[in-house]
Amino acid sequence: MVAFNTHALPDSVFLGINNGGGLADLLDDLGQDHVDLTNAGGYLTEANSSRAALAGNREVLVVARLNDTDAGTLVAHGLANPNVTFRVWVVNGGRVLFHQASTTNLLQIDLPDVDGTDQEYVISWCCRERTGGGLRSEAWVCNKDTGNVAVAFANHAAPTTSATWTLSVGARNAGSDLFTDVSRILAVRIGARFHSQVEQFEGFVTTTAAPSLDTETRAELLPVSNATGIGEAGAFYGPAVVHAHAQLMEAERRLYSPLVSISFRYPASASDGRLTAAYTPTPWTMLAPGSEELRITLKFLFLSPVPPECRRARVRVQVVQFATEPDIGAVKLAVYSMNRAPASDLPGDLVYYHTTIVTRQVDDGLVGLAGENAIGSWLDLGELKLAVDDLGRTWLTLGYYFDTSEGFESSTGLRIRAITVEPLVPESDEDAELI
Amino acid sequence: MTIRTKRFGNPEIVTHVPSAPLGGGRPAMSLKVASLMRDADRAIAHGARIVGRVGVSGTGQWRIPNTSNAGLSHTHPLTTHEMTVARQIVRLTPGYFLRALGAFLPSGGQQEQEGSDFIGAGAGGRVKIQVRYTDALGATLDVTRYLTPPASGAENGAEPLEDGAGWAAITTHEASLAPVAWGVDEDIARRWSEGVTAEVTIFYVGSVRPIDICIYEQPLIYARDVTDDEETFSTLIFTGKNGQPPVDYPHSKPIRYAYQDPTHGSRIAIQAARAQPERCGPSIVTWTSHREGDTGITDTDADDVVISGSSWVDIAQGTTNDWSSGRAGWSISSAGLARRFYESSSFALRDRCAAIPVLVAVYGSVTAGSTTARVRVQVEDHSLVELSITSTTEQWHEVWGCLRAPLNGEQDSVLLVLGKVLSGAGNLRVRHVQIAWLAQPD
Repeated sequence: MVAFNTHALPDSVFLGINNGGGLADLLDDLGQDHVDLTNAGGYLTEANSSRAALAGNREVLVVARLNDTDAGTLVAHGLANPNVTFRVWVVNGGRVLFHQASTTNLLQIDLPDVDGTDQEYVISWCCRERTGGGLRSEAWVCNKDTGNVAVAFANHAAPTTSATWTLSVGARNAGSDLFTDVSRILAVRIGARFHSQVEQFEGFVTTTAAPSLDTETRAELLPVSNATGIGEAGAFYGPAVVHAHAQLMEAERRLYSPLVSISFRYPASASDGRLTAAYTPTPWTMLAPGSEELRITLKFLFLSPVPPECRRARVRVQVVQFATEPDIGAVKLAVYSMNRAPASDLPGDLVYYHTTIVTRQVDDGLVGLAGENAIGSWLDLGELKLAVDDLGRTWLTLGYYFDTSEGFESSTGLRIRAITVEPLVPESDEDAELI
Repeated sequence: MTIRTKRFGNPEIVTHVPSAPLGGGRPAMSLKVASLMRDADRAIAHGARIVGRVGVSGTGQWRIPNTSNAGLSHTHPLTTHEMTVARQIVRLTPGYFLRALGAFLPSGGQQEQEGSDFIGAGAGGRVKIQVRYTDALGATLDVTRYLTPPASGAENGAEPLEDGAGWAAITTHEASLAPVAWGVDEDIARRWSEGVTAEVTIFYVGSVRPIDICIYEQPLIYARDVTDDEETFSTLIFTGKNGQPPVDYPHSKPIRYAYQDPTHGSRIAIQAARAQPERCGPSIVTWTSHREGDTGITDTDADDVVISGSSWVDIAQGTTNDWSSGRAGWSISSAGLARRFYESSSFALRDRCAAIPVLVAVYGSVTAGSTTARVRVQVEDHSLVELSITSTTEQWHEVWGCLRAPLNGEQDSVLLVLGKVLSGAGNLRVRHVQIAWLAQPD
């Protein structure tokens, strides 16, 4: 019975995992082909390696324990220069190089935090075909021991390749340029698809826990084309129609984009962007609809079209709170959605909703550069029901309140560094009537 | 040539897609199959991507003063003065066009120049929006539209000055940014239905006071020639010659392999289902360096961000820092709804997160020759894309990358745009940033 490895993806033309047995482990192909490499004595090889002759979309990944004196080739496909499809090798001093076609470096990366001790590195070189010709290369190296990452990118011509060229692990063609210690190569994967940095991180560094969500997600299904025969003459009619329907449902929300997503540029005059208990500029500020406390201001007013069927959003604001006195007062924040501007002559009754009103009393620092340049923090205002007019737009604005009651200083200030309002579709949205 | 056209905006577009017209074990009744065909057109109409935004953006003062414009010195913008405040570059969603929407306070005082004197010219101003559309073959088409709010009737063209009075004085104005012919000529609509790039430039003219201007996509019309290669289509266009859904479905030959009746059949349904994830995705970031309160009356361009030094600097906040999830930034969360099988299949990412292919566009330059600057877009310690800028001419610089995103907007994400100088005596100058979904590098 074949044991499947979670690293063996549909595009994995070779996957070798060293479980402590060195080359004897590594040569065992756990990928889709299940054709093992040959132990050539100190390195692995496969002559006429057509499966690794990948000159377009591809992945070359190596996991190895490296130090700053290591040298030699980790993985390569080709013969003598310039007949090289790809080659990943390290040089003394802790640098990894990425070659094709010649000895000229396409990319190079200094191994993060490299020193005289062996540390585990995930080294990934992935290529994506460009519509205009040539390739986009991403080289990504993660030090698993420290978590630090280094990257390099390039646009370049696709390499020449041949199905008669040799795949080598721990050396290059005919055993030259042997790697210092092949027992420290822990994994090699060669794939026929571009793999993102995220994918390499999730696969070989840390797998994120599955999220628990109350709202709908979408994902493209397994792509089916006419070339697979399902839509062709003579095929069953039903599967093609059912698949198309299922996929079109998944594509329905592909265009959903933030209703507001702004990192506000820090003003040249620090006082310009502040919110204070003076609620200035006063002509721009009024009580929020239905509130005796919160004010809304034209400083943060956004008119946004809303995608069809979207009647909810999730709101976060990035806040820095500061004061001229040691005691900092509480502030309250909420974001409002309105079907029109309040207190205006625009037609129609005002309909509005707001997020949870969140109170914050955090001293991020004193007023001025020290306080206002503090990092601050993101404040989750939660879900916002959207009040949408008959043209499909909503007015979004920030409501804020400073507690200046006895015991609190009135010198508290607030800087809103960013606001994000992201569309949501709850799993059950029966009360999200169209307004 | 036989062109079929789908005009979006019909109320059927915004109703919910039927959830189970073709459940297992049910007979393939014609109405159910027809509803699937309609779904393809609906799916592509479910967008309202915001691709541009500019306004006061958190600042608390206008560049237009409330004081008199009657002196002889230059205190207010000239009536003809234009200032570029935002630029965007957009790969249009098939069948979509751009629209502008703005909220304004009444425009302020302007001046005219007579010799060396500057005299009052009443109150007024407007927003000019220029769009250059480029089709897949490189042909261009220019459109210019204006948003003209009312002028202030107050003394000196002042804004309302009583407490809260600004809210009562808001007016909204909007304009279609589509060429008129797109909506009336089928041949032209077909040519501009796929593969269109739009470069948008927004100008403030005179003493206009925009609170918020939004450029967004709206579905208008999709047209295709039924004899074109079916792989060029993003949607079925389930219509007959009258533009209405056919009444006699199913066709006697439901699997289409001839050109004569392309609105029918599973073959083109499969093709549309495959094409939409290739061509449709979200707009993620649109940003301009314009700061209303810090802009002078004679400035002609948005107040640029200038970065010197070899440490990463946040282009919006001006702080020197690396990426951190606590920092202020943009969100990439809802982009997770555009997960594709290619980058984010359950084999690879196991429904735990998404990888979203994006095009990063930065409008900027370096301030001296032989200088190399770098802009980095980062969403996690391990997920980022970079581009280099070496040109002293301000222009769009683009790079493709693939960034981590949550599964939807319910989850947190922080996207930072950082810049630094790698080498040379010059600085990095950035004015505009645009980040949007793009399946494959150009």
